[in-house]
Amino acid sequence: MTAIRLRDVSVDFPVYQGGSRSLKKTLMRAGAGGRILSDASKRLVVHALDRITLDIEEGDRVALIGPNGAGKTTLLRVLAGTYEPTVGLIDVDGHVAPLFDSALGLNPDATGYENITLRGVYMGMAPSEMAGRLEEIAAFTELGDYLRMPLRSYSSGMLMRLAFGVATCVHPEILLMDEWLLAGDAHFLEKARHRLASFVTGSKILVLASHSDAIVREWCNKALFLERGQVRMFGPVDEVLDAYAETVHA
Amino acid sequence: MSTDDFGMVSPVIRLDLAEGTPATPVALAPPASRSIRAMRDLSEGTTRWWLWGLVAWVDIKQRYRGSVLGPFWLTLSTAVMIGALGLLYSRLFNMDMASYLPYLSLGILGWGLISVLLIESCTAFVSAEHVIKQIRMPLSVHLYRVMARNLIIFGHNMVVFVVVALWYQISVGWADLVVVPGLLLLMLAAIPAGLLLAATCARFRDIPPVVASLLQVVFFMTPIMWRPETLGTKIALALYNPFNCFLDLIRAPLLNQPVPTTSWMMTLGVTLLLWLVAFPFFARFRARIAYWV
Repeated sequence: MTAIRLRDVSVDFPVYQGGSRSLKKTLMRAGAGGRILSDASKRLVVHALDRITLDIEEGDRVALIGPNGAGKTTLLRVLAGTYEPTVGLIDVDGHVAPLFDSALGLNPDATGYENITLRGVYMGMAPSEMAGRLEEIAAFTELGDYLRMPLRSYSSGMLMRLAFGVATCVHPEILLMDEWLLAGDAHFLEKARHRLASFVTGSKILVLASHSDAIVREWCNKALFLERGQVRMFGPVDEVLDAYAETVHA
Repeated sequence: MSTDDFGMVSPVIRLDLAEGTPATPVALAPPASRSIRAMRDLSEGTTRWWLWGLVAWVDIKQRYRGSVLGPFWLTLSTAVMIGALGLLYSRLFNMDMASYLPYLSLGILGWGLISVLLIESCTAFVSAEHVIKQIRMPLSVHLYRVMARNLIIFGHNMVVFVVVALWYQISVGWADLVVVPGLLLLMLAAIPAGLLLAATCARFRDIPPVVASLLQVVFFMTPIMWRPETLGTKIALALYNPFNCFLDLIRAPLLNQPVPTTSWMMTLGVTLLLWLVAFPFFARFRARIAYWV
């Protein structure tokens, strides 16, 4: 059973800047005792996520909403398993495909075909597996002969097609997305929507960080309202969006 | 029953909507200990050889795309360097080219591998920042990629030694195969050393130039361009130099000499020590690396 469960998950984020990035300054600080300690305390710690408890069940399409800096991206990264929580327990049951950055693992000098393989391999597939799906992905992207050209000749929309094609071809059980994805042209959006639709009706999970009301209402059935790293509200999408709208206009 | 925006019937979703979170919260098992997770990272990384192998190969292809000689550019520049140094130093030290050039070329090739592994390990995690922050995979994959890439380049560079060996008619025998366990041991030491460097360099960004300049000093202190015997009574300085010992693992077998026992002991000891330091360190900080890069 695909599910995501978080229990009291907190993420503290050290922000290293200036001197604390330097070994020399850190060592000198240790040697100089408390004198330059004011400099030392410039190491900021951001409580990006604060005691989050959450259950996302099979079939949930969850929108992450909240103001900038609420912790949406951090939460996505925790769900993707790249950030291990500082405190708390997390259990992600299911194959996860994160789709945060269209350029991930892509090599601008390699051709489209090479990049499909490369990105698929980054997403956890063996090269031999990718070889079998190459044509399917190529057809989905509709990039045709462009796939034989180096990636640097692609527009950002074409990059996105390629990335989306590979990411959803791995048939993930859990898809994590940032908003960038839904910025394609109308024709491609329609295709992407169909792909996502078949994906979601396969009783899997979608988590989408978004600022757009329209996208959230269209794509999601639940919403998670994050504020300063805490869950303010989690429930049916309309209720949460209304509550969010109130805080924005208040 | 209604259809959703996609024109598909989705009763399951509606059911979940109604129920929300389950009435009885599911208890989660605590995660495995840090050491076990660190061990898993290292071993799962090894089993993903197709990942780092492919990426390392693409790295090399990218570096030399559009050039006629490809990776052999590096081979050519190594050959020029070895040739020039050989001519110069065989004069300076009054040595016979036939024995000096093979010695020098293996020394430079071996040193090239060791130093590039150390230097590029520093950026193994930092340069993979995008991947580390987006996709969950063993961190060791990024280190193995650096190692694989440089082993492939080392293979290309060995052509120089092959030419030198043919020219000076160095005999080839089964005993040369001792170089294989030697290289394996070198790789076994490169993993903990690389983990230490990659992790500390992710946290402290001023380490890579320090490492590079230290290596510059070590290069002159290590018998690469000169022979240990020239130290006379202070020969121990060379014999117990760990870098020289690792070089011996590659150099001695291919020059048809036995690897000195001191070199075997030293390299085994250093490898063990590196693991004893690096593993607890990696286990402690592995989860923080994603926040550091």
